[in-house]
Amino acid sequence: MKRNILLILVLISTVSLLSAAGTKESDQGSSAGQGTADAAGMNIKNPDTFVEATSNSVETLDPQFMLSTATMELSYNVYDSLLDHPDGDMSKLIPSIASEVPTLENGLIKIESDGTTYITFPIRTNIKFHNGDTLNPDDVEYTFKRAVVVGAQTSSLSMLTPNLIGENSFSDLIDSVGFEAAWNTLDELVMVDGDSVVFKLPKAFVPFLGIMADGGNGSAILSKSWSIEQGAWPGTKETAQDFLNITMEEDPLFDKMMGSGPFKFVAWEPSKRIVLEAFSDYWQGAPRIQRVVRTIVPDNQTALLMLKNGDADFTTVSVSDLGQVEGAPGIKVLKNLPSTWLMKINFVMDMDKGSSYIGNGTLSEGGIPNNFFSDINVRKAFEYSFDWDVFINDVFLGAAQKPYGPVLVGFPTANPDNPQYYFDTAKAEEYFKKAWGGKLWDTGFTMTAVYSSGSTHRQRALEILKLNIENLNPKFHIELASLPWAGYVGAIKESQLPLTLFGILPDVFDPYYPLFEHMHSAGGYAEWGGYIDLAKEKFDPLINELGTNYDPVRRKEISWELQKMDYDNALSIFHFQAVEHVAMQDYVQGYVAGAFPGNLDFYPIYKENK
Amino acid sequence: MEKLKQFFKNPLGVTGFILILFWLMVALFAPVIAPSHSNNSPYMIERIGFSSLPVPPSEDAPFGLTSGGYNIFYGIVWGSRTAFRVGLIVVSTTLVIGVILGGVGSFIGGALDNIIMRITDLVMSFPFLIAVIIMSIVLGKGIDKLIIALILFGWRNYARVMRSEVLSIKERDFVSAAYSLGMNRIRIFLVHIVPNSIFSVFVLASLDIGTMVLISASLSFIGVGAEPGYADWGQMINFSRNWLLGTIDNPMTYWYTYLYPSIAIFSFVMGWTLMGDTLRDVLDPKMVKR
Amino acid sequence: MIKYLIKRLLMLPVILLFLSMLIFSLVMFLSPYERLAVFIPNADAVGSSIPFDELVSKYGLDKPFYVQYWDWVQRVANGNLGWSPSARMPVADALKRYFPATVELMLVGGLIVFLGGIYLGTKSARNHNKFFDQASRVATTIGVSLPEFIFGLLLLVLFYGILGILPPGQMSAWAEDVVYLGSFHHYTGFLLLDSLLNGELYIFWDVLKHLILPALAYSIGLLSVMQRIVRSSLLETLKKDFVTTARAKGLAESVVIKKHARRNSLLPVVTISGSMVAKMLGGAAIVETVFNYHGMGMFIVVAAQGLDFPAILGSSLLIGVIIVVTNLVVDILYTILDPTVTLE
Repeated sequence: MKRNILLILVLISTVSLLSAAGTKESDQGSSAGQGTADAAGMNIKNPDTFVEATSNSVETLDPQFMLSTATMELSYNVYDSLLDHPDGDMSKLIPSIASEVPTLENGLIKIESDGTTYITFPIRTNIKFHNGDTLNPDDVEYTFKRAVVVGAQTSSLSMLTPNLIGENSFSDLIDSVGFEAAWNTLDELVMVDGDSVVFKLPKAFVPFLGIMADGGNGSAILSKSWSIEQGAWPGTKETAQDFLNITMEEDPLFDKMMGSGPFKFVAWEPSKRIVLEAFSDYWQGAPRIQRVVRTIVPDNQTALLMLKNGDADFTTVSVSDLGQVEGAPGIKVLKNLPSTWLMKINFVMDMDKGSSYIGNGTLSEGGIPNNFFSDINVRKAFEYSFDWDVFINDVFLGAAQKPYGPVLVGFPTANPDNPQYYFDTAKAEEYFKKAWGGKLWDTGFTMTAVYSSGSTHRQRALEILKLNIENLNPKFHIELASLPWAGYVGAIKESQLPLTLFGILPDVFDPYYPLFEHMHSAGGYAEWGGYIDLAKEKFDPLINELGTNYDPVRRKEISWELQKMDYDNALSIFHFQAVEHVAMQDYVQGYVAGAFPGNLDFYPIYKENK
Repeated sequence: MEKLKQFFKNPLGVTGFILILFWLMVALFAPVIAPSHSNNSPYMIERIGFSSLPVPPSEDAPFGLTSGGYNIFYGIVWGSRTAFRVGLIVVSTTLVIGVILGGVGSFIGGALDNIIMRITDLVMSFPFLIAVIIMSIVLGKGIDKLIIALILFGWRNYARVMRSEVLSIKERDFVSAAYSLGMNRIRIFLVHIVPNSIFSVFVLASLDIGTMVLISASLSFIGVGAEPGYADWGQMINFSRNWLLGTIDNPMTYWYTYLYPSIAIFSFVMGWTLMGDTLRDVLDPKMVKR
Repeated sequence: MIKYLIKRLLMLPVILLFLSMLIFSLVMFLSPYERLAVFIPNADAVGSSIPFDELVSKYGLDKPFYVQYWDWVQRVANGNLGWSPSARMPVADALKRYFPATVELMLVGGLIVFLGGIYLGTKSARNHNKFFDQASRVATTIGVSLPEFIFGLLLLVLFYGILGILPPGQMSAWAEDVVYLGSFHHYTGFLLLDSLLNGELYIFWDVLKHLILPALAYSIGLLSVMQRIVRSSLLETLKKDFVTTARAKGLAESVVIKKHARRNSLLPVVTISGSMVAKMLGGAAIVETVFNYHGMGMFIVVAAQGLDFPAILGSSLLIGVIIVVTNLVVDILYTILDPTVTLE
């Protein structure tokens, strides 16, 4: 009996202490436990702190090594680049660290007769780093030399490197011309000239300015002295070889940031959160919000609960979860914000002969030959078998766009009138009957289409394709299988899969990027899809011209021609371009949707009831 | 017979038996209860459309559709086959492996026993669940691979229990009597040792079937295990994870997405637990190892 | 006895070596690109512009496997567990950070399991076949049959989703501010203990509040097991001679149970506690994932999903050590409690 009483006492005291702790928190005006009591918008939780809940973990804090777009949100807010885009308008360039946007007209871009191009950026003299140092042209020079030496991997930089030095990486350059010559190339690449920095490009490269205008992502300007203090490359010739292609664990800037952007880096708890603080000496004026906490919540449901309970101010919402936040008191939802993320189903025209996804490997009902998709009729038949309506309306509940072609909707020169494939069983049948010299229709085929596990949109897209194709002919069989992300990447790289679902996410707003990635022989997809020869012969000259020609009229012409060529060759099924939905507290003001709506620019954000 | 009567006198045991019988019927008659309409493997859950939102119960789908147009009723019916398959294959295989390793090892003794016990120690020195998670991630997706992973690490308990049983029975009078009668060792092992020591292993097995189904469900829940779309209860709960909170107006909007699969797993596992418990009480009231 | 201890301890490195070889050989099947995936975050939002080949050669993933294994063994021999790309820090640091969190979870969960199990088991045995016994029998059957993740999700929805108390995670945002930024001193790495040592009672309560649900979620099954063991073992002891003697002496039933029977019936509890520790470590993987509680369990799941082998191996070693040591302790306890048992 005594024991029972004791137990009850313990229970009671626990409960009372818990509730006591609860009240203490609310006294402090911070955090948890108050439900949506402030739904009326009367009080603002933590008015000076902005909490973003995201499922995206951070791979590194070194802007030159960030591989995921989501992580670049951090460098974007902590660093600045030479140029920038005005709020929300990605097609315009504005000065940032550089005081002027170089153009041919103002003479800051000079193209010599041999194609050598000089681009000059006058550097502002009033910009301070977070540690109080003044930013000077040396820092800019150091930043880009380091990018080349350490083998920067951020996609814009890794695409820039070949255009700067003519090889894929500095170590490749050393291998081909020797260290001395390689160093000289690097040394001439970017030079300080008074208050300006001059880049020397071996040939004109139009997207260069776009790369410089990423607002603090890959082209973020590092502080030379600070970086060296942290143990990064000292910037000297003698040490260059010690820092070639450093790994994540060797990178001293892996876990710290110090830039000239509006927010200072405070702390990183890996896989938990990152804290930023307003930088009051920011050259464009101090930000309005004092602190930013980017907290990682791997589970959507938890993120939404946090939002409803006021523990988070902002999160992205998947379309299936919209019902849970739309109409919630005190929360506003912005839907269908276009995102620069294009997904496509790529045909692999030259698979590994030993692939386990091609059945018996011959043209028969039990398999497909490894070059099954090299027949354009097969590709076209597949294109006409994809049902965009079902995919976009049912799977995405309308929250996606049908792309025009490889150039993303919203990009300059994207051609809405480019011919597009559409769902048409009659056409699909027609092309299947033509395929493989007319044999395919009689023999039938079996192949395995693979998606990465957990990726619902990949799975659904293949399911739709499977359903429609199997309905055409009882001898057509598409099996579905999934691989973990790791296995999926591995299988793609080893040409095991007949179809790969991979996307284009350009960081730079120039048609060159999506077209290069999709069609150029060095862009990646040509290699995976097995159309390098075709690319070299037909696409490369045009894409190269697109990269070097400054004439907007000619560029549009080339871009349209390439989009048409993609259609004619049916390289991939462009099945959707993503849109995003975000949800935030009513009192969050100043949100501007950028190229990736889930990536925030914290600078204009503040909390206020309106 | 006496024991069987005892078993059926116990209301809990009977409840367990009825639950198992029910699921057995469902599994056996799956093609009748939920006929497959496509030319795919019937183990892939039937789809009605591709909608990303769940659809409430209707004529076509008495338990509703979960996101992706998966027919919940179909998945539950065919999932019972998966549950029996995982439970029975894993438990019977591990039981045989365990009985052989543990039984033979301890019966013969000496170096063999020592080696087998060290291997058991090695396998035991790692949490079962974590071992299976790592193994099935390496092996890849699919129920068959999950079964392999469960078997690889699942035999250890049987080996241990069998070993201790054999060790105690080895010393009993009737065994020494058999030796003195000149019976050969293999015969003694098969006729005297195994039948007398196997009961506790069986009890363990009946409880284990439920546990294995639980573990495979947990694995499907964290995203390893069955192929997406495969009729597997754990995966169906994984599907419903996004729908637990319903909408703003009604937190119970999507009740059907999680209620039915939860009940299925729960009742299946409970059936085996009840049956195993009762069996244990009836056969060997002293046994407490678990 | 001492000889036995030494023998067991000597087994430890052998077991660990085999364990590491077992895990390492598992990855023999995997291609370098598969093992590269852990370096590339966010499965959906990537394109072909990621420099896959450069990354593979940079991280040495294309080296033959025995070379990689040998490198690893050499590093471990020097006390370096390597670098974990999934945790973005050295494995040793990650373990230092995540292991205490899991231990705290296990302690709170273990408290529920042992105290609750012994209490309920005793009560059931005392009321053998009466209402309480029957009711708790039904309850424990449910407890054993209810998967941890279903129970955990239900708790989360009820206590956070509907009632708005007991949130997921490890601590509230304001507490994180104090713990990670201020003058908070990490004496032990155990947040509960550290918050007391720092005199931050509110942090203590906050951390405890976050611990309750996950601890409940994964102790429910073990609690049921424990209750059954205590009950049946006690019932058996109650039939024994010395208990009958004690009763005959006219002692009150509660005295008989507490002073005589229960101590004797705790032996199976000790036996089971070894495997309980292993079960809790395993259960942590699921429960921590449900509650977004950053401990060893979640660390291992994330590492396994990314095929992050330094992390998997490092944490396996730690877990192996824990389990071997626990079993050793159990064996020793066993000889102390039951003098008739001697260690071979």
